[in-house]
Amino acid sequence: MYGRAPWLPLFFTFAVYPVAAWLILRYAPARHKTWLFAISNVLGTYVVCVTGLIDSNTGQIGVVARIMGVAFVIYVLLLLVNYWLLRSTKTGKESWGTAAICFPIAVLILIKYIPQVEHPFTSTLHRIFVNHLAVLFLGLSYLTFRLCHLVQEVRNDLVEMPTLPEYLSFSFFVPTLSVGPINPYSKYIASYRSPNHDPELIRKSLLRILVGLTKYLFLSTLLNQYTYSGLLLDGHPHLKIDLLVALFSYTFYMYCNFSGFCDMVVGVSGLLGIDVMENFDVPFAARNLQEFWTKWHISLSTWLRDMMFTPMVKALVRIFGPRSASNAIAFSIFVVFIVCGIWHGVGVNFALFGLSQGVGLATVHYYTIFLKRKLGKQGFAAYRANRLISAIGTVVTFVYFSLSLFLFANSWENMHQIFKALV
Amino acid sequence: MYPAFRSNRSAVAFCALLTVLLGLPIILSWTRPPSSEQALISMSDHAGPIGLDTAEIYDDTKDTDVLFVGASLLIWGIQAGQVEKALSAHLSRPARVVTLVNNWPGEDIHCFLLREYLERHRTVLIVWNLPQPQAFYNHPYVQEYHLVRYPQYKTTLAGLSLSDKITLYGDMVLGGPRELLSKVRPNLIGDDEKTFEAFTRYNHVDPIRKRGYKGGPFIPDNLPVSSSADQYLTPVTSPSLAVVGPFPRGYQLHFIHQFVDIAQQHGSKLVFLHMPEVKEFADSTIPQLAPWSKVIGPDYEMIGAPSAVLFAGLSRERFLHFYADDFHFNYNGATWFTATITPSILKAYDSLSRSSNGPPVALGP
Repeated sequence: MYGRAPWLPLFFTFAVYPVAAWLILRYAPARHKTWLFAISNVLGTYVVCVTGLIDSNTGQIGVVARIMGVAFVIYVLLLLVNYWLLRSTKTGKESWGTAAICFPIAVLILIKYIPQVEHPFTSTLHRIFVNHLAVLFLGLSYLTFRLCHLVQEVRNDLVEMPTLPEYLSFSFFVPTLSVGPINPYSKYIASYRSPNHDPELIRKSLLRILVGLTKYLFLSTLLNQYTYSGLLLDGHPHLKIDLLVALFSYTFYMYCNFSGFCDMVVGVSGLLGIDVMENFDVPFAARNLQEFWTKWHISLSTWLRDMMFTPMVKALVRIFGPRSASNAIAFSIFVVFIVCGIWHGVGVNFALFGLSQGVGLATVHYYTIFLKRKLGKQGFAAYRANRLISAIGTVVTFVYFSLSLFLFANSWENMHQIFKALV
Repeated sequence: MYPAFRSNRSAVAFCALLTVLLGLPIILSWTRPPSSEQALISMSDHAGPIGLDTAEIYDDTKDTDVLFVGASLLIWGIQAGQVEKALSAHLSRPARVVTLVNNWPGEDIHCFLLREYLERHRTVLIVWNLPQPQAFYNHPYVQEYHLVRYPQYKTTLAGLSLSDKITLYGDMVLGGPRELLSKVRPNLIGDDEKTFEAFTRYNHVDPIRKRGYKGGPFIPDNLPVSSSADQYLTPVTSPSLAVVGPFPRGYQLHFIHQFVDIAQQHGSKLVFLHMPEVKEFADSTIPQLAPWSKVIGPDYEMIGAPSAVLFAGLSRERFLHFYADDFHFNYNGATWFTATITPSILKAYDSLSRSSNGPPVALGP
């Protein structure tokens, strides 16, 4: 029923797959290991996609497997095209690199954001109780960002060109498939080639999985009772205090749900000896929004910084001169976070969520410049060291982020329903 | 890799939080429990017409001639107004017919609704759409966590197996935060919510269900009501009832027995109702989960007929004109089925007044 965890894909991702992958990485002959690991990830992805869809429609296994099979073949073919473009960056002209970055983004836009693309498939999708074509391409948003980053790393010679099985294993690495982290290829391949089998790491990984499971299944389920969908959108009228309850509970719910899942991903990858980027680092301790985004969904903010923000600021400063650096930074923040909002989902509310983050971050940026000018170097250092100011900043950051999540969590229709329900 | 906990202090705090949350049902049992009405209205309208159920149970004080209890098969398959009209004409006085319904199967929630209703209303006849083979669900109701509380182990939950009690404890833990919140401020229900239309508006569905089979076009259709429609009231010992299983397990049986007991304790007559599903097309028997005559007793009756009888001579194509999906009737089905079973309901009602002891609960003009 609704609101319950998808048990089958969860069980496969965190119980069945790790055992199979561990056996391959540990016992497969060296010359076959890379291919076997790639095959286990490709097949594993297909199984996660199918189990994710049959979970609530168990009577439809055959139909789901067939429809998903066709979609998955297309998914793999698209990846192969992208691999060919990636290889061409090394053997052909520089423009192939641009094509290799643009191709996955174009595929993402087509599948996720252009409804006309899915119109011919509507009846087929309804047969398996799916409303959007993107559902058949599990983890496409994350995969797109991983692949773009890979092109940058290959183009800048930070890593050598991956072989096809390495590329497939990286793209379809089952633990990071659905919600990341957006692990860089350099980190992945380094740990894949020389995995860490330290017993201490195994102990840490197991504890991470246990804590992640508790956060994801238990705490987030409890917190969901207090969120917009669990509390305010139940069809009944609500006192205004319920809006406050939902506002802050949703933030904690998001944290437990997302960071709990990421804990499991990091833990399972650690058991396999593969190093995956951390996604959370005590985010609610951040004293401002700038710091917050270095602690919340770290892999996304790092990607946005490396792939969008820094090149954009550099380009703007090149065009408008060094004196415009401050405004170039603020402008880039806006653009990057609006893209970040749109990447999170389809709907104006997601763009507004991104905009709200942009406004917050730009405010912090200008406020920091103002303080530095006003207080001087030593005064600013004293300001930073002040514990009361730090505590106030932490509270203000948390409240601002919780308020902006209202836009993230609710469509226009839901927002209308929520305000209608308040008495 | 970061460690799971940055310090021993954070590990201890995490464990303490888990302990408190897991112990919440017991901690909350030391305080005054919320009223049953507060518990019911904390449920989402996804779970059924909660506003309407609340109004029928807690607001309306009139006694009832016929009470329908069931899940979504009943929501979309019975038109209570149609039965009320026929019964009023039959009794030559205004009769009252009420439905208490919810989405998704759950004998536990049926027991809750029935108990709450009968504690506040005298009711002559209860028509219960008991679990059917396609709707087998041997677990607590999906939103049971709103209703179940720790002190109930000594009352309504006594007799359940240890594994069922543990499962329900999980539900109590899940329901803990919402119960805690209702201690801080009341759960509310709007007057405009207390209608069936409010429920359909919330769920974005057509209240009169003019829907074709599985999203196909709606084709208006009707069938004549059989002249032998009052024969559809059959004893549970009848050979037309075929046991196809799966046999209900402990949890379901516990609440089936409890439902029967509650009706008996309040002196109301209980009859069962079988609602035909698409899979039963051309079946010459009524498929049942269990031999009810052995499970509950031989003295009960069932309203229903094999599909081969109900839809005699109908092509499968036309048969589907009466359904919205594999389980639920559409407008055609509800109108025709209600008309078809109404004579049997009247017969069941009459049999009470003709019995030597008279009606168990006498409602007069």
